[in-house]
Amino acid sequence: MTQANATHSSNHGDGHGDEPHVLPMQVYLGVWAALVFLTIVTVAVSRFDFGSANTFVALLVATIKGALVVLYFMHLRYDNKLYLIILLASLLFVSIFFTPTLIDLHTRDALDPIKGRTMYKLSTSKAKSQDAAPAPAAH
Amino acid sequence: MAIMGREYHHAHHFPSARAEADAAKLGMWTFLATEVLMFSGLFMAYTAYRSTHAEMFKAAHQLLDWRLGGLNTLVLILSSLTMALGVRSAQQNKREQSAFYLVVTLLCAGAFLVVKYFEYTHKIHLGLLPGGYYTYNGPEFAGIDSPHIFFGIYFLLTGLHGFHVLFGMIAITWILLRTTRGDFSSKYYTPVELVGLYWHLVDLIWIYLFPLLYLVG
Repeated sequence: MTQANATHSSNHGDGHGDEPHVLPMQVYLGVWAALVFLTIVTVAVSRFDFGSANTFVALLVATIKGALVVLYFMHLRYDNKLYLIILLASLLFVSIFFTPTLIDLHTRDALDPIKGRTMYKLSTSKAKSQDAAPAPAAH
Repeated sequence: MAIMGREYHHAHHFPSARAEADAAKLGMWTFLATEVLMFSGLFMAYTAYRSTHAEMFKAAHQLLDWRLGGLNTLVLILSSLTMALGVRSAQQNKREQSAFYLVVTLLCAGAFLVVKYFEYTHKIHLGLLPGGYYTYNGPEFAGIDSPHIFFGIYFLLTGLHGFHVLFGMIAITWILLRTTRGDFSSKYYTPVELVGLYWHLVDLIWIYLFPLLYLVG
């Protein structure tokens, strides 16, 4: 029983059996054409004003492109799902990195309106000091 | 097998060639996960500063040429296609075809770096450099706060990515030499596949860098 299960599972599941899992040429060319098209879309949507959704739209198009690369060029659609889990885990940890950092950054002035603001508003002092003309009280 | 030269035998501590290939791929994906995490530090810096300096990002990104960024996007996408086809040919025992696709991939990678070279020299010439090296004082930035931060992030992100392209070229060259030597066949092409995975990740990161740096909305 266990033996039968073991042989069975080794022949199925993740396309990398004894014989390589070769995708048809049309799949690669199709994905490539879609990526070129979506690159044009990337530029086109940047000309459009979606208001506050601008960045979201740009990232959405990039993520569709990324998904095509990962699923077909990197074979994740056909490969062992463990690799997909590793990739998604890295993205999970990126979100754990981003979320508290951004919450912290944007709630500092709620705790201390004056100090909180100076922490990320770098002020113009750094940029001004690069200038040749010393204008200390410009703004 | 005879056409492909030497026959490959998996290491004795693996039960089968497939187990060995799976273990290698698991290691590669784990490495790619650490790559994502490494780049996420710079993406975090980008997000933090863009969220507090939105107007500055909008003004500063206009000094980048989106046409060159778009050209490089198309170049990298083409190189990703040829890399994938190189792996596909290796899977099918087509050694010469695989070598051809790898050479095209290398040429695309080289073209990417040449375009990047022209972009960098233009910015160095204008003084659009990170942090204290920033000297540009053009009319575009009248009343704009701290544009040097954008160029710091730009150079770190594209620089780290550029080093990945460079390392990818070294890895592809190594694979190409081994392909012409007859190391790979449909029974064993793991290194080709792993370098392919790495190369696609380099493409993947650029897919995000292009809109985030060149097309700030």
